[in-house]
Amino acid sequence: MGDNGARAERLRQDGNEHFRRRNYTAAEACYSQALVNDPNMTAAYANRAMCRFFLASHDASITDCDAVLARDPDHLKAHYYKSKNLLALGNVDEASTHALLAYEMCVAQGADTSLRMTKEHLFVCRKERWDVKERRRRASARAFEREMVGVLEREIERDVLEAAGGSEAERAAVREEGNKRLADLRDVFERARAKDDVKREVPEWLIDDITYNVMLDPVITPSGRSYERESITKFIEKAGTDPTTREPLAKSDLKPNRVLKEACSWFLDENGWAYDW
Amino acid sequence: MSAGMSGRRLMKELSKIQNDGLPPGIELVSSGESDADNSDWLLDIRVLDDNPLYKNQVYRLRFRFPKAYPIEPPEVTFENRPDRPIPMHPHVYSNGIICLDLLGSQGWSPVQSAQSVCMSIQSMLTSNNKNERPEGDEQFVKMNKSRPRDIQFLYDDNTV
Repeated sequence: MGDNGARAERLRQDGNEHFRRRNYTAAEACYSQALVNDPNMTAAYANRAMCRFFLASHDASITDCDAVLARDPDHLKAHYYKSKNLLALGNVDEASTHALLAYEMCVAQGADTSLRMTKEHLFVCRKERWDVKERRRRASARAFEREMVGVLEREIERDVLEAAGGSEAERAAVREEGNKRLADLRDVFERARAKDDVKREVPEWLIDDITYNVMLDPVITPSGRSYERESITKFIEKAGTDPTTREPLAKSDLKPNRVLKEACSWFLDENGWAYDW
Repeated sequence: MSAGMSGRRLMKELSKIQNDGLPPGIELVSSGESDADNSDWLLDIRVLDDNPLYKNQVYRLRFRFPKAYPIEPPEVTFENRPDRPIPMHPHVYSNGIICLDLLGSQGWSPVQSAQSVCMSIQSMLTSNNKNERPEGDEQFVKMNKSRPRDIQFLYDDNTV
C-alpha cells in the first residue's frame, strides 16, 4: 500500500503539472492512473472532475464530483464543479442547489478568494432558472392563445354556414359579428402580454450600494447599513473601514441580514429579470 | 466573467443618469462608449451661485475608472480646453490635478459615484473665495510625473 500510495501521489503531481499547462487530456490520464493506485484519493477525483469539466465530459465529471462528496460532503470545489456541469447539461434546478451549497461553504469556511467566483456562479444559475421558467410561461401563454383563437374561428365558420340560407346582408352581418369577437379576444391577450413589458423597477433598498445589483447575501454593518457580502468583504480587505461612516470595520463585524435576504430572494423569485438589471 | 467589476457598475450608473438625469450644473458629455478600451467619462460642471471666481464658466472633468472601481477610486482631473479653463482653487493645481480627500485611496468610499463626486467638486468650488493655486503649484506642475492617485497629498487645510 505504501508503494502504491507513493506512486499515486507522484501521478497526481504529474497531473497537476499538466493541468497547470492546460493539457487536460494528459492531466486526466494521470489522475486516472493515480486512482488505480489509490482508489480513495479524494484530491485526484476532484482534480479529474475539473479536467473533465474543461473537456466537456459533463456526466463523467459529475461522477467524479459525487465520488469526492461521498468522502467529503463539505468539499467546496466538488459542489461548484458539479453545479457547473449540471448547468452545462441544462439541469438548472439541481445546478442552483449545488451553486448555493458551494457559496454557503465558501462563506462558512472563510474562503474569501472564492467568494466572487461562487457568488457569480450562483447568480448565473438563478438567472438561468428564471429564464427557463419565463420561457415556459410565455410559450404556454402563446399556445393557449392559439388554441382559443382556433376555437372561436371554428365557431364563426359554423355560424356563417348556418346562416347560408339567409340573405347576403344577413351572412355579412354574421361574419362581421364573428370578426368583432375575434378582435376582442386578440385584444385581451395583447393586453396581458403588454403587462409583461411594464416598466421594471427595483426597490432601492434591495440594491447593494457598491455593485448596484440586487443582493443575494446581504450582511449588515454595525452602523446599520447592508451590503452584498462579496463587495463589502472586498472593500474591507482594501480599506478596513465602513464605506459610509469611515469607522474601522472588520469582516467579523458583518452579520447576515436575514430579513433583507428574504426580501431580496422573494423579489428575485417574482422578478427574475432583475438578475440582469 | 468580465475582467473587473467596473463594467457592470458603470453601465448601471449610466442608465441611472439616463433615467433620472443629473443635478443642476452637471452634464454628462461622454461616457467612453465610442472606444471599448477607453472607459473615461467626461462631465461638465458649473457653479450655480454668483461666486465671482467661477461666474459664467464651465469646467470639464475627466473620470478614469480603474478595473476595480468602485472598490478603488476613479482618477478625476480638470481638463484644459479653449472654452474650459482650470478653475482657480487652493486645492486645484494648474494642470488640472485635484487634491480632494474623497478621491484618495484613504478617503474613497465605494458608495460614491461619478455623480456624487461631481457634486462634491461643485460644492468645493462653491464654498471657495480664495483666488489662488495650491502652495508650490508651479514646481509641482513642472516636476510631477505620477498619476494623481499615486500622489500623497496633505489634507491638512480644512478651511477650504
